[in-house]
Amino acid sequence: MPEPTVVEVSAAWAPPAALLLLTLAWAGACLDGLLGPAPGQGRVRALRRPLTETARLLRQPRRTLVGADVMLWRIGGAGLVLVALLMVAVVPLGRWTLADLSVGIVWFNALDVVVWALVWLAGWGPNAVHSLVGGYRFLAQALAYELPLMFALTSPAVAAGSLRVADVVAAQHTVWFVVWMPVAFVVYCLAVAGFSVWGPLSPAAGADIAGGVLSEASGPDRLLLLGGRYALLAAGAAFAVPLFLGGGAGPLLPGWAWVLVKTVLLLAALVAVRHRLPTLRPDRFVEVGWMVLLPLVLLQVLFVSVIVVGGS
Amino acid sequence: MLEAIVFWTLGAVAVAAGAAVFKVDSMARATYALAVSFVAVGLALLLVDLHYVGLVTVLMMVMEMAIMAVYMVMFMGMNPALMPMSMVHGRRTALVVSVGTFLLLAAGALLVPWPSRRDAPPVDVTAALGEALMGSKMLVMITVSPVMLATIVAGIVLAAPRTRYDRFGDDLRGHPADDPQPGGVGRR
Amino acid sequence: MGLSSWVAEQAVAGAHVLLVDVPGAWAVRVAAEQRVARRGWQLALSPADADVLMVCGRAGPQLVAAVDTVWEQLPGPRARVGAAGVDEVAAALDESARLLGDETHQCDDARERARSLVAEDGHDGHDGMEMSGPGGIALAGGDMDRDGLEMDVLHVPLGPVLPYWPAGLVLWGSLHGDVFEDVHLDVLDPAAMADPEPPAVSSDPAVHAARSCDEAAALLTLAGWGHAAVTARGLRDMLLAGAPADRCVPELDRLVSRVRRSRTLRWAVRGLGVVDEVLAREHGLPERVRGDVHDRLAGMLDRARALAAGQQPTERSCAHGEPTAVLDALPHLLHGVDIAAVRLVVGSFAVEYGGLSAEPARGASHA
Repeated sequence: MPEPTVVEVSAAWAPPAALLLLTLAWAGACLDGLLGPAPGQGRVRALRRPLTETARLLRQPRRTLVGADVMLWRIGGAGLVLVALLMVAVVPLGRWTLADLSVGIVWFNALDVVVWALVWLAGWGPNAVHSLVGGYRFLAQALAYELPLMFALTSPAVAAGSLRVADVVAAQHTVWFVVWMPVAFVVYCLAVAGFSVWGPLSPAAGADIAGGVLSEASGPDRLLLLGGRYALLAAGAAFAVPLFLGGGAGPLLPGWAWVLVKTVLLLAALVAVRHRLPTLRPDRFVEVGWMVLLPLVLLQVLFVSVIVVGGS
Repeated sequence: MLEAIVFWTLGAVAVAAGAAVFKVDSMARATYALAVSFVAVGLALLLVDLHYVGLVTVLMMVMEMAIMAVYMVMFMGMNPALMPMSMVHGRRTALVVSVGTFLLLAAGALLVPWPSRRDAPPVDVTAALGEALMGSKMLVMITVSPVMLATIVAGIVLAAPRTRYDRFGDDLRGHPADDPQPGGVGRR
Repeated sequence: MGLSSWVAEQAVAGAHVLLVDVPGAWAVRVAAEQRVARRGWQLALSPADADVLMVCGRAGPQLVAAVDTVWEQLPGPRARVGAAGVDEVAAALDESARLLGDETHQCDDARERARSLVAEDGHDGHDGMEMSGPGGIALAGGDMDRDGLEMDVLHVPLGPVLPYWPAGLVLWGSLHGDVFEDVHLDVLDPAAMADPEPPAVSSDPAVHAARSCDEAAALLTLAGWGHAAVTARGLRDMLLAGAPADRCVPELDRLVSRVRRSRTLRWAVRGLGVVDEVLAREHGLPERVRGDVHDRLAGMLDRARALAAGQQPTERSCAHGEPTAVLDALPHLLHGVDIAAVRLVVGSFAVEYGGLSAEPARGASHA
């Protein structure tokens, strides 16, 4: 097994990394505009949507409501982008990474749990019916996907024998994990959609509760909430690359280019799913998460463990 | 030097956030002040190279506080913390006991003659800690957590107002279950 | 400055519009939606999301009062316009764009609002209210909910200014957590309903088919299925533009089979708002209404297909029974249902609560 050569770069590279993540988020937003539910608008206009949306929101003031818990509301909104930035700190871009933690997978897991708190705070803050219902719908749904996600993250760790992201990449030098851990990969992607409040797992921001968590936010708060969703999607897609898709492995291009290519492809797939399925209602999804997804993922981990123990 | 600064800062944050739990007049703020306190403790664990334990502490505590938001805020009718009402009972006793415990533990931490380190720390500190704590009882420890989960689920089933007979009928043959809000799997 | 005017230009290019649906002015609202899409603007889901508040049709006094309340909730920069008829829609939207881009007007508006807020605050007195929570609002009382838990009770109105909600309908209910009990429905400005001479009903089956498609599109949006909703809206536009039946009917067939075949949709809305035989007979609801939300959605699309294929509309555009009958039956259906499901159930009844307007012009989409 080749020595995992991951170089930890200095913290001065953090701003460019943040910029890269935000660029990916922007690209995701552009793609969403293109594929979104208004095909008659023309491509140029659709691609300009993130720009016009940002400009529109920057011109708006913040709102406040009677009895709103403003501090918690702002924390909830602003925290999403911050969490996404922290998530990508452990993703190796080819040979370089910002933080070569020995427990990179647990770091990612801890951050996606912090999203629970943030989305709930964004729902609680405004002291409004629809937002609060949105916040609680998110918690109900998160209870459904979180445990399957944890076990889906455990599969690559078991296969690599380590929680370090670089080790997981190195363990895929023969075959990528997505090939023999498809269940874990699918559950992981589902969970990424879940913590990004995206597509079929977006009841927290659904039209049937007038926008839910987004229903009272305006101006910079709304921009951070919406941007945070795209940033989390991009971060989730980026983390899937070292975990399941072999990291920087691939012919011709250098490692970092492959990481970017794979991230963009997975991000595009996640964005494309948004409008193709109806919302999975959380009261029904909870039972599916515990009775269907969890046993499947446990079987997957068992399968992986058997192979690892048998092979060693 | 940097470690000392970080440690003292985290310690101060943990204590201040813990005290804030009783000062703020909103259940949500109390919950998340507690979360901040626990997170500071978890981060402090990172300073002794217990990376796994520290991060898992942070993970668990944030998840617990989020779930507490479901129970404490949603199920406590008439949130008392929203009114300017004191959340503290038996104030003087509690203060004496808590300050006393804090002083006792602080004295222990500072005055006990801890053994000095003989060799370099092991490569995998977490594994070494696990061995030291659980040693030969590792298998027992692993089976304890699913048993605990099963106990929690059983407790909820016993405590729920709608019993099996309400859901499936007297002969337990009703199919699917008669729930006011059915789950997604639609099974018996 | 160049930068701020460029930002303003970009902002106006992507404005969000909140449409106020006036009972009887369906054609105006549809024309407004088409125009908004043509401009590259978006429809807003809530007042906080909106820059432009547009009243589609002539609103009665109660609805105007509701619109005034909503107007206060728009963050700046904002514009309020109205279009009484289909031909006024384009001009209204152009006017709103002009207002949004007009910096002086928006600054004056913002200053005016700040001043009125300060004046309000001065009159507020919080002393003596021991039971008051944050902001001086009294705390909620508790009560047993559907599952026997004691939850806080909140009295909440849904509508009338709510996207994808029937025009002129207001739902009053007590929310226990997020579950509704004691639902009570009202129709604003009921004079139109009691109109002794109801306005002329369009006899063109294509318009009725378009209406069914529109209702189905709203329900599909509420269910979160964006693509199917877009298809349904496209079909609505096609039918209103006068496309020949041999183009519309196959498309409708495709949509109908897609909706019927979708297991995810059926799983998501299965068992919601079930109208059984007893309830139907009790309130005089037609056979079509039986079943759950999915059945009624499929029914709406089937009806659209039949009408597009040339079948004549048999009664007023009420596909699912007389409005009064449905209004009587709904509280029974909505008891113990959570707030999102309430939206789905109410949206699954294709009923005009306020009376139909004069015949909408064919080819109105070119406005």
